[in-house]
Amino acid sequence: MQFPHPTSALLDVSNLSKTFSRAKRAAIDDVCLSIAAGEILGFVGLNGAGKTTTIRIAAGLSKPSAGRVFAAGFDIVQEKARASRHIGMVPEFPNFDPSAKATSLLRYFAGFRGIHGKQAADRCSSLLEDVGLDASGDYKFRALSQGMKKRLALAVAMLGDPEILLLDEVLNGLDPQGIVLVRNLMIRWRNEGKAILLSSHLLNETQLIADRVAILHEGRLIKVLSRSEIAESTSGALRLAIVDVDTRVLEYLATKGSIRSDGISVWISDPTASAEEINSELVRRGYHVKSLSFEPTSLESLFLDLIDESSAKASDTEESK
Amino acid sequence: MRRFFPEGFRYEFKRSLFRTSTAFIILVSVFVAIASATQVAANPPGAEKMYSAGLFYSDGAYHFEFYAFNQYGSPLSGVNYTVNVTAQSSNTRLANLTGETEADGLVELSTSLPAGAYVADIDAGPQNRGEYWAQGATNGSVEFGPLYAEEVVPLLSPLTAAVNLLIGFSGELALQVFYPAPNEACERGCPVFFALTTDTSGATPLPESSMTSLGTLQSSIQTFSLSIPPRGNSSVSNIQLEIFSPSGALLAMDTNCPASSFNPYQIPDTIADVAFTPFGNDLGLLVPLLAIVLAFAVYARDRVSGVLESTLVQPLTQRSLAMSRLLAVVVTLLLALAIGMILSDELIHLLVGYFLLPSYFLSFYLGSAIVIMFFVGIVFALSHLLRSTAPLIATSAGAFLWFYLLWGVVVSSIEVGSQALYVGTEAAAALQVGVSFFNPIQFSGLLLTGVTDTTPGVAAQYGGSAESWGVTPVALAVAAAAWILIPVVLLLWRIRTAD
Repeated sequence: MQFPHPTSALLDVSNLSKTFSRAKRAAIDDVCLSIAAGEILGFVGLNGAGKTTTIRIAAGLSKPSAGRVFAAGFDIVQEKARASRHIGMVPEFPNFDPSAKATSLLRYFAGFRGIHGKQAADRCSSLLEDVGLDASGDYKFRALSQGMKKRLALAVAMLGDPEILLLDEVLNGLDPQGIVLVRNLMIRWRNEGKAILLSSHLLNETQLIADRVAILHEGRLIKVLSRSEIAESTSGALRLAIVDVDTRVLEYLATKGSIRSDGISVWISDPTASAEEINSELVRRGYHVKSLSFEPTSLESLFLDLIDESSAKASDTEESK
Repeated sequence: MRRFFPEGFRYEFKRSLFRTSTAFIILVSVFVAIASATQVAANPPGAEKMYSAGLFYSDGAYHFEFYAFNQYGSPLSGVNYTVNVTAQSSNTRLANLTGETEADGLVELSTSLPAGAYVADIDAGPQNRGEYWAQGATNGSVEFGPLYAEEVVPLLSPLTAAVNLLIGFSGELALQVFYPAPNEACERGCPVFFALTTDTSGATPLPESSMTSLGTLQSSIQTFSLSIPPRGNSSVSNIQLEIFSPSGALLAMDTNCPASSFNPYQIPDTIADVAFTPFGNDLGLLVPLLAIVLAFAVYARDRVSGVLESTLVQPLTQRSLAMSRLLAVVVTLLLALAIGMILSDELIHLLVGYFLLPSYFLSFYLGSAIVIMFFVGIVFALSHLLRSTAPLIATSAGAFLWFYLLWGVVVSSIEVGSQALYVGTEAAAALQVGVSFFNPIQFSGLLLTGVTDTTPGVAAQYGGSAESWGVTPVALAVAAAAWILIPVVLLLWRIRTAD
């Protein structure tokens, strides 16, 4: 009798490292993540940061050089079959038998989840409907568009109703309708208590839906931010649209925070004075303020700042050596 | 059991087994079976081959007595013999004797001529040419003259002949002696002795004391069971047979009977024909090719193209996935081969009247199973070593070509490279037998040798038991295990160590 690893998180990634043979540096290095039931963890990073490697190891497709992954308490390496029962995965580029029909593929994969016969037929048609492929069940995989392949992969991932979903760039290649469909599906799954790891380059979408966001850079996890931390970190900038922006006004505004300007508007990040105070002073100085608004800083900016910071730190460390 | 064959394994195995490709492979096997059976039927091992024995004696008149028989030692009737007698000095034709064999295969042609020196030109052949495949000498020329009483001169083929007493395709070796003793010399039975000799001239009669008794000749044609293990007597090339009168006088002698024909470790030609023509050539070529094609279609293609990963996300391990598909491919091929061979055997029986020897059937099947497991395993393993389709197909095809076509070149090169070994020597044959353990495609032949305890084909001329050539049960088991396990171990090692 085997017992699951005691953990409150459904997916627990601890000290995960991976160095591919013949590679000079680690693809991922000491990555720790955990996703609880009913949580969406956004997973962001530049190309080659190690997101897909992490997801592949978590899905049991690749072996870690160090560290462990527990899915619903089962070690993905030692107890692959048991752990995989709790995992559904959508790869960045779904790759199924090109000559198989969508329905046949679903029925084939359903067998691994113990779903056979009429039950399988019902389940497959219901899933195809969920992902908007109910009219394309008889299409061969090779005949499907990129977006349709993604949808089919989603249906395959949902077959066993797994508690953990690993979604690698699931939104890529989807049309706006598809993005909304997947977003709604993810919200539904979160409400059903599933743990979702969402790797994406679409940071605005991620920010919109993720409960936390993990930022990976050059194989290392540099930050995991909760929704409130993101909100705090992206406290925003005061945007002022001023007629005839000149050096004098810019000099004044620079005393109130860090500024940037496109010649029409001026943004003051983390202003030291209130909006009313700055507006009054500008009016007093004879400037015409057309509009004044508060714009939260996007996750994208925060992400880029963190990446820059991490790179700078890394080069400092390198130099000190 | 569930630990070794978890649910995912069993599911994937069943799925892989019931594929369209399985039906295709079975259809191919059936097609080849029909083609093989047709080939056997076109040249059945039961087709008679004609052998001729003849002798000449004189009792005042000159008597030419001929005996026509087939490879099983059965007499052939209706065979036409002609003897043209001319005077040696004048070359004038004196007599033209002709006659056909009776149901007992015998015909006697006689003529009365004055004492003198003559030449007899003899021609023997079936009345309806083409009905039989003549084997051995069917014409010749002999000088003759007055003989002393009881002297017999052998004509055409030797006095004695090795025959196979065939039951189906299985043979029991025997020596058939044809000696219609003139002047009732053997009315009371003539003792027959034999000895192994290197002398083929027949010039040196041996005394009874240095020979082995074969039995007593009671009729003009008599069959004696005889098998001689020539291993250890490889210098012995012939059997010297002597027939004595009841009083002990030497009546006839023959040294032209090759000892190798009585090697009990040699598969009779008739079996070899059937064994190695349709199955060895057709299925022997097809089995490794089908193994490569099916292994590629079921596993390697998906593995190389990345399609397999979509299955690997499911609740099963990579080892389970690989082994379940490997087992499914092997079972499919074994099933197809069994269906093909059974069907072929039934067809051969229907067309020719014989079933294959069970030992041959078993050897070929088990040997093919080894070939299947080896090539399937190799393709599976290669798919984990090579990252794209072209090198995978090229390497698999290369393995097939190496073992199937280039092996002869390899063996010859070894022989030429070994100063002490020359093609055609016993040492070279021993090397060839040893080297064949390193080729899975030759495993059927080795198994047949081991199962039937016969001399390996490449060493047939030297005789000897399978064991004396190193084809022991242990050697066969070790080689079989190696051919099955090497690719599987390589596959599992790659799965274990791969990124």
